[in-house]
Parts: sequence; C-alpha cells; structure tokens
Amino acid sequence: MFCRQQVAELTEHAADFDDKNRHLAVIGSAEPSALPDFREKTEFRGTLLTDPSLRSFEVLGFERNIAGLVGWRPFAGAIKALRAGYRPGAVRGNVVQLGGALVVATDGRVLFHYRSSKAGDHPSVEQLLGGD
Amino acid sequence: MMNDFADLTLLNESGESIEMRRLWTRQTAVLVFVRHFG
Repeated sequence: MFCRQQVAELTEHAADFDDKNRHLAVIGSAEPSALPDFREKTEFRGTLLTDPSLRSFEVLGFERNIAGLVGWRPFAGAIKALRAGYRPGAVRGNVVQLGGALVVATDGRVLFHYRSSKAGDHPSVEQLLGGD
Repeated sequence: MMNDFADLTLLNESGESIEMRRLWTRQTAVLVFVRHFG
C-alpha cells in the first residue's frame, strides 16, 4: 500500500525528474514476474527493476526487521494511505525488508543516501531532486 | 559497506541482469528502493 502510494507520487513528478536530467528507477525485491502487474497498477513509466536476492538492499544498509512494521508511524501512514484511496494489495517481495533511496552522479559519487526507518518512511520528491 | 554497490546486479521485467552502474552512465540516477510490490 505504502509502496504503491510512493510510486504514484513519483509518477506524478516524472516530468520534474526529466527536467533535472535525472534517471529515475524504482527497485523492489519480488520476482521479475511481479513487475508488469506493479507497473500497470501504478502507471509508472520509468525504469522498474528488482533484486530478489536482497543483496543490494543489504549492501546499501537498508533495514530488514519486523520492528520497522510496527508502531504509531506505520499505523498513521496506513490510515493516511487508506484515506487517499490506496488499498492493500497482494505483497510481492520481502515484507520485512525496508527500502530507501540513493542518488548517484555520472561519476559514481553518491549525492544522497536515505535509509527508511519504518514502513511508510521514504524521502520526499524534493529530497530526491536535490543533492547537486 | 557501499564500495561494491556499482557492481551489483538487478533484474528487469524479462529477468535479465542489469549492472547497477549502468543506471548512472548518462544521467544522475535516482534509485528508489521500495519495500515490496504491493
């Protein structure tokens, strides 16, 4: 639910990423067969990839634990998502794996690195567009 | 910790391996890692 909401927000701002000459890619943890359905549901037109091995999540320091799914913040986020019209769908990927974001320049420098601390915690579009 | 991330591989919709470094060859890359596809 949070993930679809997050990707819907990115889709809304796709032109902003193009304007800043940024290559936007969304990466999940399900099997590749889950990608077409997710693309259809989110209407995301950018690069969509996956890492079922979770190796990239691990190397980038993204948390994987049940604690990230409980507490007030995920609960409040779920209510907000439901009010915005997002309904839970079938989960494709590792349910306890948290995400994050990385902005990398063409020379390989990391301009921004964000590790989610809870489900529903993700960087704003403004943060992803910054970091020059 | 992050020294080797450029060499990691991801999979596209066809199941083909994509080396992460390819994502920022021509443009700054914004990589958003989501919890799951749900």
